Amino acid sequence: MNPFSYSKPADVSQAVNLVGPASRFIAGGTNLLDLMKENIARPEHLIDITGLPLKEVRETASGGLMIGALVSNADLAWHPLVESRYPLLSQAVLAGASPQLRNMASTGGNLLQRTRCYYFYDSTVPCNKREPGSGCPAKDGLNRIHAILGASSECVATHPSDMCVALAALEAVVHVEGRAGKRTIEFADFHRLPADAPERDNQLADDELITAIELPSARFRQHSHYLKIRDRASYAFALVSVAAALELDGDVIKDVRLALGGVAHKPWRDKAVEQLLKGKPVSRENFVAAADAMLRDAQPLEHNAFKIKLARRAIVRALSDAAVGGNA
Amino acid sequence: MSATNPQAFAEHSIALTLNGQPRQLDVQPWTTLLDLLREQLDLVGTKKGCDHGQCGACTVLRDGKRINACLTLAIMCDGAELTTIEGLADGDALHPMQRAFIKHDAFQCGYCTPGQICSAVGLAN
Ligand SMILES: Cc1cc2nc3c(=O)[nH]c(=O)nc-3n(C[C@H](O)[C@H](O)[C@H](O)COP(=O)(O)OP(=O)(O)OC[C@H]3O[C@@H](n4cnc5c(N)ncnc54)[C@H](O)[C@@H]3O)c2cc1C
Ligand code: SF4
Ligand code: FES
Repeated sequence: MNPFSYSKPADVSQAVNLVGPASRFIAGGTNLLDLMKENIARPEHLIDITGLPLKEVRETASGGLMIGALVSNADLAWHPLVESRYPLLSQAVLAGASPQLRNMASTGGNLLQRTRCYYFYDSTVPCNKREPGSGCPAKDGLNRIHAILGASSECVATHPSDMCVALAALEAVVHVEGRAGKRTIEFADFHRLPADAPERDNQLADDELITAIELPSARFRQHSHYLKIRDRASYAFALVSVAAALELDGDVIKDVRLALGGVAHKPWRDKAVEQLLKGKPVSRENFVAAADAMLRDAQPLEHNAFKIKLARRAIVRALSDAAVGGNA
Repeated sequence: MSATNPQAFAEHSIALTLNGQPRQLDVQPWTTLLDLLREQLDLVGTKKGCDHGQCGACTVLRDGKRINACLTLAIMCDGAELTTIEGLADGDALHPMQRAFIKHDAFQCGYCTPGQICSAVGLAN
């Protein structure tokens, strides 16, 4: 780790005013310190935001929830209102990392962990995300864990978060504050596809701080399921994950949300596929058709074609489990 | 506060409770809690395995909750209450979790046992 200076502001406006060219916010530190130890992140100044008053979960006037950016992943997953109304989110958070890391990691930090791959961590090889223009060794290298959707010739990495897949399905809204003031960003627009600028993972400006994540009122608590497929049953990133949520009227699908993790540079959602399922009865046939539509544009690399088959099956399974009330 | 100002790299003073004792410590901003414990305070029960949050050997309790000391900056523990493996026993009386590990022969090579015990205490808390 390179030497750096440190400050700990007490309010949000102080925090955003401390932002300089080589400064970074730090919350749980579980991604940033990891990258600093590898010399991949080299901030000269750390702004410790753990003293900011952003640690609350509260109900909103419209019946949703406002989750402070500093609520830990553990506190979020076990919060009674989250467990009872948004079990999909609890499941997704608990599917990620380890109990220790979830005690440290923050809600805001989880969104901002780097989209990355193992070459990104290895400073002896090129990587467009780490050094723009240097090349992408993953494209023709070992790419078993990489993207099958939305990738570009510049970068084929995937976003590693589980929590974000659930937030995409639930249509969360990201509240941010910068020097120019406050704004909100729809979850679907928050993360970027790599295109020709893979060094940018999301739409946040350098001086902007995530203050909260807002969830709209809960409609899917009866019928949702987060399915994570990984190389081992615990403590590994997803090869493929699926957040599925259904609103049913008897046997008929009134509304549906479907988001995939582990397959793209951002949580992957396709509203046209959801539209396809609306008004249809719950059936394996319909779920298979949705899975096929979701993966129609999937492009395998040399070593990750298995992900297409895996994702197809995982989508059918997650939707089926959601339909029978699969919050186990 | 500018990083080009050498003053800015100065040590910071923090106050915390470590294994029940109030401590006043001077730390560099880039010192991890794990290095503070092992290098500065000679509390070597907490182990360094991967140093990247992957193995859990460095698990300690902060305000009763298990965390990885390797991915925690010491400076960010100002005001915290920390318990390491050295602080679990009450004098000569081992913590029930330590006794349970011995009774059930729950060791492998032993290197990460302190982390496992702290993690188990965190789970039970
Ligand atoms: C071994 C290991 C395994 C893991 N496994 C999983 C897994 O299976 N699934 C999963 O989803 N995740 C996993 N993670 C990732 C973990 O969930 C993230 O590292 C964590 O959520 C990041 O949160 P943090 O608060 O620690 O972020 P930090 O490391 O503090 O910050 C990350 C980034 O966000 C910025 N930042 C933080 N908060 C804010 C804010 N409020 N506003 C603006 N910028 C901010 C920081 O400047 C930094 O750039 C794993 C991590 C490790 C180390
Ligand atoms: S996939 Fe992206 S992160 Fe991985 S080596 Fe290529 S450019 Fe870098
Ligand atoms: S030393 Fe491995 S998790 Fe900290």
